[in-house]
Order: sequence, then structure tokens, then C-alpha cells
Amino acid sequence: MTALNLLHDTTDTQPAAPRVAPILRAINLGKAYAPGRGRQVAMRRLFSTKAEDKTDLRWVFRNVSFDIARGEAIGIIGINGAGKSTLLKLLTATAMPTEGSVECTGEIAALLELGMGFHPDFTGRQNAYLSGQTQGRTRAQIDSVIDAIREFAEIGDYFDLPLRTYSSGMGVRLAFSVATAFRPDILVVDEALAVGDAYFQHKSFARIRQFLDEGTTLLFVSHDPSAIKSLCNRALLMGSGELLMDASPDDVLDYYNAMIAERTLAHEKAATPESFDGRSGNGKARYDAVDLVAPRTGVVNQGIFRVGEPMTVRLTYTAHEALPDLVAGVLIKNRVGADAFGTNTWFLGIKEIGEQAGVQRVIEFQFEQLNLGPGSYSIAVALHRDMNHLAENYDWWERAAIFTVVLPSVATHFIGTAALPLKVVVDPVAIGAGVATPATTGTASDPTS
Amino acid sequence: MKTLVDMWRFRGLARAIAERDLRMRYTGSVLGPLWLLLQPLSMVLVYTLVFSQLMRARLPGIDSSFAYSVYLLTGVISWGMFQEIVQRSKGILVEHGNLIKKVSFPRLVLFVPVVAVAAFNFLVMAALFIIFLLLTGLFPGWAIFAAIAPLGVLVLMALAIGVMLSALQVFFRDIGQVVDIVLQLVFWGTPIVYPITILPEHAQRWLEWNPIMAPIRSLHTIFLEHQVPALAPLGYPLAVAAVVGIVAVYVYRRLYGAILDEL
Repeated sequence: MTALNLLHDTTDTQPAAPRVAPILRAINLGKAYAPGRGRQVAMRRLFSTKAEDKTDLRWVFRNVSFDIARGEAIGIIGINGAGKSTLLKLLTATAMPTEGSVECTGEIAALLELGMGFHPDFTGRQNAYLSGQTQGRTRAQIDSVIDAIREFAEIGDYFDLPLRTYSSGMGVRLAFSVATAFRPDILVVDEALAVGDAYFQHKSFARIRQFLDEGTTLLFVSHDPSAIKSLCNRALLMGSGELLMDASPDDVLDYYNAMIAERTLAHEKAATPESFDGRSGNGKARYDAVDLVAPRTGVVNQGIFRVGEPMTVRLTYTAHEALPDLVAGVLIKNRVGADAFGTNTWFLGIKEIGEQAGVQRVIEFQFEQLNLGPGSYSIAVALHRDMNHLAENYDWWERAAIFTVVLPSVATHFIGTAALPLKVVVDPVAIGAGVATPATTGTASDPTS
Repeated sequence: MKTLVDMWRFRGLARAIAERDLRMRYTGSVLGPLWLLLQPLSMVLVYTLVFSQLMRARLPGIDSSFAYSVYLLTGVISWGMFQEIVQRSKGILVEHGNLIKKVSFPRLVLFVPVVAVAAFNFLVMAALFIIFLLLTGLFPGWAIFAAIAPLGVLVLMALAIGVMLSALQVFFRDIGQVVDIVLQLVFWGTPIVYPITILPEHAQRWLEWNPIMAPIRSLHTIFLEHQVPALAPLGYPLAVAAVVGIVAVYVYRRLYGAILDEL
């Protein structure tokens, strides 16, 4: 039963390497599901003496190799069906690889696909015990953390009610609390946190960060680029049945977003040829291209920017006749379509941008600081006559570009659409003592100082 | 060896599942553990009535009015344990599929509570049986400790069969039904309810192949004749248990990856 030994084998069978031995190694991993029903597979396994025929297997992925060092935080990225969850199952020995092997020298706590094998008829408390025991903890060990589990989950009296009465969010709260009751060597989180509410997400991220500081290795699957960027120092991109990329989260996410954009584009073109795509106008002047330019990576189709980073919207347009009153505008909208910021060359007092007929020109809106809150944004661009597009609309292009704003890894957290530059002063000298000012650090101010 | 060390590490899990199984069986029912007794008691009552009174079955050579009851109880209680282990084991991987898919732990731990719960139920029955023996003056004395050997053989055989079936059951759900029928046949193919002497000579010879027979006969020797039985006849059932056990390990190893995919 090699599967069992994976998790608990503390001896390193590799020859002594000069570098620190990795805590987790994937060696040429491949996972395939055999065609046909399970019982045919079982019969073949039991009675066939021939080596398994690998030609007609359906591979999820093959040839996945990587070493993970102690304390690394790895984000795993990929579209649905890329094999992220399957990879985690192989790493946690809840599924067997078809080829290759996993070497693990630490204790793993895993939150896979919502829940940890909880039993619906048992209370949260009983499930917490059971779950701890599946990790090989003793009752006494769990006794010492059960109150902490209850407290962290914040599900109140539900803790002593059967799990079937829980909402899915409560289930996740309990699962996370139980999985992280002891600091594991390796923490595996598979999108589970997406179900929790924002409050609990922040709370759990804080705990994950604390574990990272204390040396835990993290494997984290998420579709949330900001979470990956702020938690992880390395990212793996799964796709096309293999490990596509193993690099920094910035690079991987940029590549991934470009990949997604290509897919979306191909999909849209196939689905709606020449139909309305959020673009209108009489075409006297028309945008040829809208690009977002990031300082680090240059032109990106779907960029990821940190709060406060510079971003340039580069508009390439052609006026097909001389348009002396041509105005170019940019409007940033948030995920739900509410305006976040918009302006145009008329408001900015920039004139004579449409005099030359038939010449392609470029105008750049250079945002020095993208002071937007974290989230996904779209940019609508317009070419029109005078102050707004009501006079004459040459070209209006909804969702010409999409970008995501993420929190910088070390920033203090905030919520909302606007990132307002802020300085918090406790007891400013000019006003004197007695003015209640919220302290960002959360420490109480001393009125006598 | 390593497996055993792992199993010990996960003893808490085995205990939790065992407690859970017991609690599940008895919570929500008014009579609770009484049901555990009432079912076999009713069976014994019916058999005693039908066979010893109506059919006037007599155990050759023994002249006590309670002899048939002792004969029957010895077999039924022991068989009950064997049957419970096989029946609970066969579905154990499917039953705990949710847990197996999510958490990696030594899967064999799951069989520990099965045996533990069956042993618990057996001990409750055995305690009552012993009280009955003491009251009727039929207690076998020190010879009772000799029962450990045949009972151990029964447990090993049941466990080997159960482990093998549990792996196959993941793929072939019909096994559950087939096993129930086969258990019925084996039950009636073992002299538990009837004495073997009522069978014709050639049928008796055939029954010698039944591996359950030797342990049950040993138990009969202890409780009816109050003698320590020979160990040699237990060699055959022990060999059967060993062979089934080896097959079970082979099946389990070959199918383990597929089981995880199939659950």
C-alpha cells in the first residue's frame, strides 16, 4: 500500500543532495482514466497479465514534474478541467497516479472540493474529532484545540448540531477551522474558500499568511488572481494536459489571462460573426486598437495591476474625415458595470486630435496611479463630437479592454472601489489630545502621550 | 509491520468510527441495545420450539432438556459474529467513500471498528449465554477458554473474506446480494440448527469441506461435552482463511488506484 506510506514516510530515499531536500516532489506525474466502466477496469487489473495498454486512456495530464521546497507558497492556476484538483488529489494520496510518483516528507492537511469527508448526521464537534483522527491525532490532542476550532469557525450553536443543518458556508468554515487547527507542514486548499463570505475569507487568508510565516508550505488552487498574487510566491499553470508554466505568479497570471482572452475571442468570433459586440457609432472615426500598457510587461490584453501602479490606456484610432471637434473618451467600469472613472479630451482641454483625415494616430491616457480598489474592471472607449457622445457618436466600444486590480502583497487591506491615499495620525499636534481618530494598526492610542 | 504501526497511530479513528456505529445503531430507538438481543433471542426461541419440541429433535448421547438450546445458542451466537463481520465489511469502502476520497489514512483502519463492534455485540450475547449456562448448571468450566481458538479462526476468516469483498463491491455492487444468499446457504450447510447426525452419510462427507464447520464443532465440544477440543481440525479453516487473506491482499493492491477513481 504505497499510498499509505506516501504521507507518513519520513525517510528520504533520494541520495543526499547538496541542496535542501524538497518537501514535496512530483516526478513525471500522469493521471488517466481508463475507458469503459469501472468493472471492466477492475477485471482487467485483476486478471490481465499484460502490461496495461496506455494508448486508449483518457489523460488528464502527463509529464508533470516539480519540486516544492519547504515554506514555498504555490498557486495552481488553470481553466476548469485542466486537472488542478486531480493534481492535488495525487499529491495528497487520495488518488493514485497512472504513471510517475509523488514523494512527500511532511504532514499534509487538505481542504479538497468543499469539506473533508464530513458525516452529515454528526455534529460539528463530532466531525471535528473524526476529522482530526483521520489525520492520526489522538483524542487528547484534539481536546486541546476543540475550543479554538469552535471559536474560529464562528458558527455558534451550530457547532453542536448535525452537519446536515449547516449552510454550505458554515460547512466551509468548519472544514477550514478543522484543517488548520494544527499547523501542518503542507496546507492544501482547493477553491474551497470561494464559498465562504468575504469576512471569513479574510480571516482564513490571515491564518494562511500566519502559517506561511511560520514555515508551512502552501498549495493553493484559486480562480482569484488577487488571492494568488498576494499569497503565493510561485505559480503552476495547468492546461492542455500538462504543466504549461512554472514561474512567478505575475508571469503565470499574465500568460494565463492572455490565454483566456484568446479563448474568449475565438469563442466570440465563432459564436457571433459580425454581430453586435458592444460597439456602435457611425464610423466617421474609429478605434483600430485599444491596448493596456503595464510598466513591467508592456502591452497586455487583459492585464493585472496592483493598486497604485501606473497604467496606460493606448488608443489607436483613425479619423476617416477631418473632424475638428473630435473627442476621445475613456470610461472605467467596475465588475457590475457601475462607472468608476471616466473623462475625455474635451474635459481635459485637448484639441485638434481629429484634423488629419485617414491618418492613424495614437493617444495615450496615462494613469500615474491606478487608485482603484481590488476587483475586475472594464474600459469603454468612445470617439464622438463635443462634450459627450449625444451630439454625434463616431465610435463607442464597450468592454474594449478588461483588467484586474489586485492588492499588493504587503499592502494594508481595504475594501471599496476607490484607493484613496490616506495618512492616519493619532493625536495630531495641531489639534491636540482628545480627538478620536481611528488607528490603522488597531492598537489603542494613549491620550496622555 | 509498518502497516501495523500506522494502524496503531490511527487507533483514535477506529475508536471514533466504532463508537459512531454503536451510537447510530441505538440512538433514536426506544429499546436501544435491547434490539441487539431481541432479534437473536426470537430466532433461538423459534428454533428451539420448532426443532426440539415440535420435531422432537434429540441430540444423540446427551440427555438434558436444555441440551438442544445450548447446541443452538453456541452455533447461532458464533455464526452471528462471523456473519456480521462479513456483511459489514463488504460495504465498508463504499460506505466510507466520502472519507476515503478526501483524506488519506490507512484504509485497513476501517475494518477495525467492524470487528470491534461485532466483538462487542458477541460479548453481550455471550455474557447472557454464560448466565444461562450458570443458571442451568451447564457451565463448561475452564474448558470455556478453549473457545478462543475456534472463535479467532472464525474472525480471521470473516475478516479475510470481508476485505476481499469490500474491494470487489466497489465495482460489482451485486456482490452485496450474492453474499447474503451465500451466507444463507452456508448457514444451513453448517450443523448449527440441526445435529449433523440427522444427515445421510455422503452429505456429512461433503460438509467436511465447509470451513465453518470445524470451528463450530469445536465450540459444540466445549459447551456440550465440556471438553477441550483438539486443535488439529482448525488447521483446515485456518488455511482457508490464509488463502482468502492472500487473495484479498492481491485484490486490494491491484485495485487500490481504481477504487479511489471509482468511489
